[in-house]
This record gives sequence, C-alpha cells and structure tokens, in this order.
Amino acid sequence: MRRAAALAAMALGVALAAVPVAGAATQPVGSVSVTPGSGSALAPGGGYFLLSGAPNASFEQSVTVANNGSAPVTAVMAGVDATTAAGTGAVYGAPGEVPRRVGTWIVPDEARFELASHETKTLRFSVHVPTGVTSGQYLGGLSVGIGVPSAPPPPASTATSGFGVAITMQTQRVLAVEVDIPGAPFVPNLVVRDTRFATAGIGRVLAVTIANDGNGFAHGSGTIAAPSEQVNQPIAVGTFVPGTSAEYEVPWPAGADEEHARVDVSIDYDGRALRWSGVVGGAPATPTTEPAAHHSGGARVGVVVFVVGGLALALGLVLLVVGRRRRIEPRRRPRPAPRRASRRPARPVQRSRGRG
Amino acid sequence: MRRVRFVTVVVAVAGAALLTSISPALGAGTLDFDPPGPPTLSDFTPVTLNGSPQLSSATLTPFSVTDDTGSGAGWKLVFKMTQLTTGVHSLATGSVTMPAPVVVPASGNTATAPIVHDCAGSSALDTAGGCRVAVADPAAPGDGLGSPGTWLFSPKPLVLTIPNDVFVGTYSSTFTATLSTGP
Repeated sequence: MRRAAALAAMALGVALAAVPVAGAATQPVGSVSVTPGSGSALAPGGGYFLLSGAPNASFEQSVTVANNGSAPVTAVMAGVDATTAAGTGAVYGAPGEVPRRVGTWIVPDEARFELASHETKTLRFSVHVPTGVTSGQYLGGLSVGIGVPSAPPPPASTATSGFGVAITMQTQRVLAVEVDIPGAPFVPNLVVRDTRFATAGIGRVLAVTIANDGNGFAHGSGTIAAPSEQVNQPIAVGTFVPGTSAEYEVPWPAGADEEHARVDVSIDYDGRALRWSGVVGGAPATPTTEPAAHHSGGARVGVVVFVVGGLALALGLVLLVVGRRRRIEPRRRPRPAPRRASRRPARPVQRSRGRG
Repeated sequence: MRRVRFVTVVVAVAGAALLTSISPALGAGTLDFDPPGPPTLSDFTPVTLNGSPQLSSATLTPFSVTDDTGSGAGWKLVFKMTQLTTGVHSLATGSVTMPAPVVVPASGNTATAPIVHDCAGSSALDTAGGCRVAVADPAAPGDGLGSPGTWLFSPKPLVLTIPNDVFVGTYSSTFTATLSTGP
C-alpha cells in the first residue's frame, strides 16, 4: 500500500516536473583575513594557536580581523569543533553549527561585529579547559564567518511544480586552537569501527568507519581493498583528530558480491599500523589494529627497545674493557715484537688477542 | 681610535640584530581570498524530471588565494555543502561532485603549488567533511614552505546527480568555503 502511494506520488512528481525550475544561489558579500594577535601562544611558525595546560586552565588570546574588501561586512565569530573527514583530515564546523567538543571551550568576547571596508579590529577570546579532561591533544578552531544568516532559513516548500535547488553561500576563516594536556604520551590508535554498504549518488559504495581511540593526532596512508572484487582504493589520513571518526567511502562495482566479499583495511601511521580483515557488516576476521609485527610497536615500545639496547651495549663495552685490562696487565712486560699484518681480515676476537 | 671602531662595530651588530628581530613582523601579512573575494556560485542548470537519473551543473567563478603570513604553516581550502533537502525529502549525500580545480601561481611566485583534489566519493561536496579542494602542506614534497604567495584557481563545474526517484521540491543547501590554518 505504502509502495503504491509512493509510486503514485512519484508519478505525480514526474508529471508536475514538466516545467523545470532553475536553482538559485545567494552570494556572500566578501571575506576577511584573520591573524593571531600579538602575545598569543602560537605553534611553531605562528599559523595557529597552541596552548598547553592542565584541566581547568584558562587562556586569554586575541585575533586581528581585517576586511580587505571594498564593501562592509558583518562577521560572526565563534568556537567550532574539529572533526576528521575522509581524505581531508581535520575539518572544522561551519558557522552556525553548534559545537559540542573543544569548540565549547572557545568563547569570543564579541560574537557578531561589523567591519567597514579596509577596517581592522583586534578582538579577544578565551579558552577554558574543563575539569576532568584527560591527557591528550585536543583540537578546535576559532571561526570568523561572513555571509552567515542571522536566523536559519525556513524549510523550503515542497509545494512546487518541479525540481529546484537553492544554495546559500558563506565563507569562513578558521584558525586552529590546539590544546595539549600533558601527562601520558600522545599516542594515536586507529581502529575500524564499522563497515557497511550504502548508496551515494547513483552508485553503491563500501563505507568503512575508522576512529582514532588514542589521545594523539594520527597521520598516514593506506588502502581499503576487496581482492575478490578487484577493489583497491588508496586512502590518506591527514591529521586524524583523537576521539573522532571518519567514514571512508570506496566505490563498489555494480553487481559485485556484497555478502561474502572479504575487505582488507591497511593503514600505516606514526610508526603504528592498522590491519583489519573481515566481511562487511560482520566481525573482523583478524584482530583490529595494534602495532604490526614489522612496525616495532609505536613510539613507546621503540624508546624502550632503544634504551634497553643502549644499556646492553654500554654494559658490554664496559665488560670488554675490563676484561681486556685484566688480560693486558700481566703481558705488558714481556711485550712481543710486532708481527706483520695478515692480509686476511681478522675477526674482532682475533685482533684483540693479537694486540695483547 | 680603536675605541671608536669598537663602538661602531657594537652599534652595527646591535642594529643588525634588532632589524632581524623586527623584519618578520613588518613583513607579516594575511591569508585571504584576493579581491574581488571568494568564489560565487551560479544557478544550477534547470532539469525536467522524466523518471531517469539526470545531471545538473553549476559553476564557481575563478578566484585567488594569497598567503602572505610568512608562517610557513600552510593552509587548507575546503568546500562543503550541507545535505540538499526540502525539509521533508533529501538527496543522498555525495550527490554533488566537482573535479579538482586548475591552480597556477601568480606571476613571480615560484613556491611549490598546493595539492588540489577531486571532490567525489567520500570527498564529495555534500559529505560530512566536505572536500579539501586545495591543501598547502609544508610536509608535502616540494620546498616545504606551505605554498606562500598568490595562487589563481579556475574551478571546474559542480555536478549534481539527481536520482530517478527524486521527489519534486526546492532542495536547499548551504555552501561554505573555508580557509583554515592548523595542524
């Protein structure tokens, strides 16, 4: 019954769509440049804010906003969340989006202000780190948007005679605000959270959701593959924000097996590796993530191996020197005449004996 | 005489040091779309629904981005559209795609160009993260400067795929062009 009703509605839509409706786009009135204010805590190079502090810390920072255009603009300043997008890395919330994470820590003194043509203003904002935040790297952004409507547009009417598109345009400048909470080492940990098939546009895609369950940024690259279906899609991981996930979509060949095809996800990042194999929608056939055997197990394990190895080497050298001294002392007096060097390269042990 | 020379050298060295410390501040500029500003979007071409999938297109005007900050931190240009919806019916995400734009340096700019990307699949314009249209990454192969200077963009057309079973109505979306600086 519902299907019949839907078909009837579609048929009516097709009939009504005989008169085409063009899409309309509204345009922004300009853009602004935003630079960190003097005295702010900045990352090396000065491109964005880098703050370090304990939970409950507060920071006062500033930005300089300039209207380089020939028309006055109304700017909207706000804190925005940083999330991760497939192929994009860290991305920031758009003007008007309600922040739920680090964006809520960032509070500008002025949320909306006017800038005349070629006018410059320096504005302050504060960053409040909540209590109870654990050690790690946190990322948000200070957004200055132009062309942002003061109120959300009313929902478009469906009582139209055809298909139309209405686009509202806005521009945004974002300066990242990274807050590092010291304590435990910053270590990323990528895991496969979900796999599913979906429709995108007019085709099918394999959607793989990957999350960063660690407390540090991840950067790397890899592939999502289904060997039996000749699918092998390279993927890039650019600044994967801790505590976020991203859905990577891979075009799925028409008619390819969606029920039994095995999918392999392989990503190398920051000295670690994610290896996942399984059937879409099912449990992984192999354990999710964790350092691959050939990857030495991440920074911490690498440091431990380096330190233990160094200590063992030092101990070995000390024992060698002590042993040589004990053997050298009694032989010094009756020192034999030097012998001709042999053409055959001596092994370290033989050389040691020869010198004695 | 020796004392005079010594004082002269000290003053010269101090002056040079002071100049070195001041020069970056004097030269520091901004990161922004150049006048006449950010790109503007044309209307989508009209379509007549006929029960088959159809395409509609729109064009962005050429634009330029200038990074005169001297930070070497690079920058990222992201285009993002919210999901097209009538408020009742929505088009599937991933419906709006755009080939990578052509980017060329302005006259005299010899820096490594930003890397441009196709906006399709999981990087289509109307996806959760939008599309990284251009990334100026100092860690990318090249001079490691993060693509400073002025870059001229010639966007390719946006293509909207309209499925055969679409409902009539006016589908709204917000297009956000974001210039960001960050890790």
